[in-house]
Amino acid sequence: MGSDFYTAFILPHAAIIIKICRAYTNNQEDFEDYYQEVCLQIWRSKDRFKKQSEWSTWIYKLSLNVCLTYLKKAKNNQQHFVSDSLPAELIEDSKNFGEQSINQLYGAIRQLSEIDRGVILLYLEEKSYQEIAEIIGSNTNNIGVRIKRIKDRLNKILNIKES
Amino acid sequence: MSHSIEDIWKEGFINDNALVAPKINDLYNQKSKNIVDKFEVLFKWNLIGIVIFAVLVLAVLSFKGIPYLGMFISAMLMSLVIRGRKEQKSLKLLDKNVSSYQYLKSFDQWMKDLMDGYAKLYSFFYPALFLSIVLQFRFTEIGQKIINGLVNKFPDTTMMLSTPLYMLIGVSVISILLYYFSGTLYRLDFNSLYGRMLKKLEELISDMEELRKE
Repeated sequence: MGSDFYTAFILPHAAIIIKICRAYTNNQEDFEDYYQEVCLQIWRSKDRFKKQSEWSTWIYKLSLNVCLTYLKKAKNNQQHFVSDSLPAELIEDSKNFGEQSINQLYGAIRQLSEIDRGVILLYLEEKSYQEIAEIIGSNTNNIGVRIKRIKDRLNKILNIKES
Repeated sequence: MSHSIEDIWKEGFINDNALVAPKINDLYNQKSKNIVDKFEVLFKWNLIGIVIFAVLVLAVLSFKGIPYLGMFISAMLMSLVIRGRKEQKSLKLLDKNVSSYQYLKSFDQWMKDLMDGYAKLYSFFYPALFLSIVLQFRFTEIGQKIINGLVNKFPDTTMMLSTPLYMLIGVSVISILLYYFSGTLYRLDFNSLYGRMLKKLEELISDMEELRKE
C-alpha cells in the first residue's frame, strides 16, 4: 500500500475504523491486526468504490464487512452471555480509551452479537436508519426495532435507567 | 450511571487521544486472515500442489513402465486444477462494496457452489481413479498370476472378459459406492477443514436474516 494513499484517503477516516475495530476486539494486539486488515482491504478494494455513496459511508461498510469475516483469534470474539454487571476481565481488557465510561460502553457492546455491534455503532455514529439499513442490508423499520432492543440490553448491562 | 449511551458515546470521544491510528507496518506483505483472502491463498497453493503432484505421478508411473495410467491420472488431476482456476476467478468477483448481508450471502453462495461443483467432480474422479488402477493391475504380471491362481483353485468359476465374474461384480459395486459416497466424503472433508468458518458464516447470516424478518 502506498503511504500517500493511506495518508490521503484512510488516515482522515481512521476514527471510524478505530471505533469499529475496537468493538470486535478485546485487546490491543487484536485491535491492531483488525485495523491493519481493514486498511489493507480498503486499499485493495479502492477501485471498486463507485462514488454512489460518501467515501466515509463506504469505509463504514467495508470495515464492517472485514470485521465480520476476519478470523484472527476468533476465541476472543466469542459472544458473552448477558449479565447484569460487566465481567471484571472485560473491563480490564477494554481500557482502550481515556474515558472510563466509554470503555464500559465498549465492554457492553462487545457482549452483543456481531451484527448488533455493527448496528449500534452506526446508530451511535448518528447514521440514519436508512443508511444503517443500506450498510447492513436490512430494511429501515427493522433497524428501528433492533436498535430499541439493543439499547435496552446495553442499558441493562450498564445499569442505566433511561428517563 | 446517569448518562444515556448516546451521551457516553459523544462525550467519550471529545478529548480522546485513543482515536489516534496505530502504526501500520509493511501492510503490503501482511498475511491476511480474512476468510475470502484465506481462501484465495489456500486455493492458489492447492492448485500448485495438484499440478506438482500430477507431474510427479506422470513421471513416476512412466518410469515404472505404465505411462498410460500416469497420463490418465495426471489428466484427471488437471481437471481438478481447471475447476479450481474457474473457482479462483469467481472468488475474485466477490464484491465487498455491498451491504453486509449481501456480502455474507454472496460468500456463502460461493462456498455452496464450490462444494457442489467439487462434490460432482469427485463423484466421477474417485470411481475413475479406482477403475483405472484396477484395470492397469489386471493386466500386470502379478494381476494375471492372481487370476490364474484363482481359476486353478476354483475351476468352476464363471468368467467374463477373461476375469472371474465375482471380481467384476466386486469392482462394479465398489465403483458405484464410490460414485454415491465421494460427494459425501468430500463434504465431510471440507467441513473438517473449514468447519469453523462455515459455522461463523451460518451464525452471521442467520442473525442477519432474523434482523430482516423483524
